[in-house]
Amino acid sequence: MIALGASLLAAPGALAHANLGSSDPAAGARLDTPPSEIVMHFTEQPELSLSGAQVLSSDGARVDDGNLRQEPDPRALVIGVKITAHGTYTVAWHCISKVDGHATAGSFAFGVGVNPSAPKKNLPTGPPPNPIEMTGRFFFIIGTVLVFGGALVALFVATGARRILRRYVIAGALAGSAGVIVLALAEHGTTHASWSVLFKLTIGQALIERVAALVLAAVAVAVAVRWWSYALALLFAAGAMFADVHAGHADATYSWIGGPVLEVLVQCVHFASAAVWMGGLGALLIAIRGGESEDKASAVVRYARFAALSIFVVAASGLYRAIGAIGSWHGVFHSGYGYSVIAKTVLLGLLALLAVRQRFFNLDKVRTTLAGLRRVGKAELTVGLAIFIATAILLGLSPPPPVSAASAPLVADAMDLGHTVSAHLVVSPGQAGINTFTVSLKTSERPQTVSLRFVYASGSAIGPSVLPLERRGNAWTATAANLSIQGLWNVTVVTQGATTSSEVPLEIATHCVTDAVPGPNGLILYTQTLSGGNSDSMYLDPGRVGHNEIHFTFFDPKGNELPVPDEPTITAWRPGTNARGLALRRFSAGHFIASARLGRGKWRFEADAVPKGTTQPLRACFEQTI
Amino acid sequence: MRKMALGAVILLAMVACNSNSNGSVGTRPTSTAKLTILQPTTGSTVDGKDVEVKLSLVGGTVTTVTVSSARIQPNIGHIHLRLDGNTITLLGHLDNHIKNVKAGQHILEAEYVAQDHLPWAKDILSTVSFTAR
Repeated sequence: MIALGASLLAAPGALAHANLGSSDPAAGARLDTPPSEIVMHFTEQPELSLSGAQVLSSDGARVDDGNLRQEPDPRALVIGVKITAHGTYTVAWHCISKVDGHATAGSFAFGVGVNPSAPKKNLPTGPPPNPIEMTGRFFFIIGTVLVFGGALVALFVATGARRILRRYVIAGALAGSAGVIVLALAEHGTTHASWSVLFKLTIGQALIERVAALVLAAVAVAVAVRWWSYALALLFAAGAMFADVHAGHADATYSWIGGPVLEVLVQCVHFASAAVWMGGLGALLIAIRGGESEDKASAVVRYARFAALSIFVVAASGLYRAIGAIGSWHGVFHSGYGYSVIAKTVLLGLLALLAVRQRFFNLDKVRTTLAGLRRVGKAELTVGLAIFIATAILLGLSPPPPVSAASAPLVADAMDLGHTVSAHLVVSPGQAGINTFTVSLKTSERPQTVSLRFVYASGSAIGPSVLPLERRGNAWTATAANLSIQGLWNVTVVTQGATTSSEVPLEIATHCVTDAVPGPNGLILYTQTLSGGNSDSMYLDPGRVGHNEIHFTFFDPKGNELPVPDEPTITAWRPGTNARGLALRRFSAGHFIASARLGRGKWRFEADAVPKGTTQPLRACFEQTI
Repeated sequence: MRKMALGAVILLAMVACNSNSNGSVGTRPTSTAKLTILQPTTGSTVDGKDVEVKLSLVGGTVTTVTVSSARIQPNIGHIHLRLDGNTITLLGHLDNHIKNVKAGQHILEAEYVAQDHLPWAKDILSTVSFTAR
């Protein structure tokens, strides 16, 4: 476990890279009236000047106004559109994260008056791992580690070897600076920004800060071989680490105390501990070259104390960051990011074994021989080098996206009334719009035709529809937009055999596309973009079995409370049960609370509200498992 | 001297790391305000017909204006009052009255929340139990 935790050294947050989280119109949506703008919400703040979007009609004509802006939410990009005809429209976007400079791009389609015929999937596509960036990052990490570890050893462990360690620290500073320059080249290539523009941006300034700190560290040690020069080098190396962490994913990761402070602090400590362990070991091996002596033996013992502490801190901080970074075991075993984590885990385990051997076999012998310590130490450094390579690769990859409810397919099982046919329905992706429906049947008679009948159960907005399915092996499938709007649907599987027919009733609800952040005491706070640029916030309090309150607050496009004159309808639904309307109370013009006693299970809460001055209802919903 | 240098490094690192305390976009902000229920006091017995509630809020202001999460500001918010887990008001003031409280023991919670009516990243909550007669 310690190895696993430590292996996640410098693991970025789960929201790493600016991926598209949601949009209005949503991917695959069918709109009756044309939108005036497209709003895209990203998981990290985009760098507006380096991001772009185009909205194209099905014949390739641009329908956007070219004015990409970032308001009111800094994580959202907005572009105006002028659409005058029904048809399918495609939004192609590219984005540079303001947090780390990583690039992502993707596209999605929506329809005006028609079901979008283009693939509706919102597929963020980051560029493949950039070897230039990884090389630069590797040299920056290694260089900073050498400076920090070398300065620490010169200050506290082997004070008599300060002159010898000067080259070690300067070499580290130069390697780290070279790494930053390579990183700058990579950023320049990724962003396609001019150098003057790049260095005005957050990511460019972070590059300058890192290289400045390392150069100052080199100058400090070059000027004098005194304790204060190494103290300055240590300070400047710490500054370079902070600049790196501040410009990384830790700074965009939420922690339980609120904001990124804890994540940044943990990552700083993590980086410094790794530098003490590996950078200090390299410096120690240089400091104890030559024959054995009492001074060298004492230096080894002093270093061992630092090393023991740093190993523990690296493991603890790595474990902490890992919990937020990966989120699921699936992500570990099904992504390049996860494979890098596994590689680091194996290497860290090996390194831990070597450290144990040093501590229990070689440390007691250092007053008579340093040979064993040197031999195992070199092996440790070799493994450490491989770990830093894995770290550089890891930092260049996007962690696997969290498996959210909104990305999981809908699944429903049921039997017909006569218990002769059993149906298993999978709807992917399970959101309103185009879905792929796959039905598996267990029946004594092989059906000749299978179809799905859809009836909207969340209102009377649309009439029923039927979708014939095609046989694919043992399953029946079709892709269509019958789940055209968000809500609860009665879906009946209709089978027709040579002599018999059957109907299997199922109930499914489209996923709610929301942004969620953790609140205090286990609360989950949801926000949702609604039609017309409106939005709402929702939460379930306390979100445990028993009495709960469900909050819905509506906002207009400017972020002001949106008055809802007539009380909305709020329903709660759990698969396998009937949706039930909840008694609700009004607390202000646009804030309503419903109360309910809830049992365990996956609940879906939905509010239908008609804002003041319109007849078009807003449908808000969120899903939460109790 | 070396210990002083080490201390300086640690201090600098902590100051540097903590300098970035202005919450990132998309996360719940924190508030430094402190909310206390002054009245009723825990263990007190009060007249259930009209329970007077007095609150103390230090370091924050109360507003009746509701805005979306993108526009909230630190230390400006609403007061939510809950009696036995049921919300009584979302726009509470520092002086409130709860009418017709049933006789018996009750738990009163006052929470200071942001202008979007959502809790801060760390809840600011004061709880008392009292008896109504």
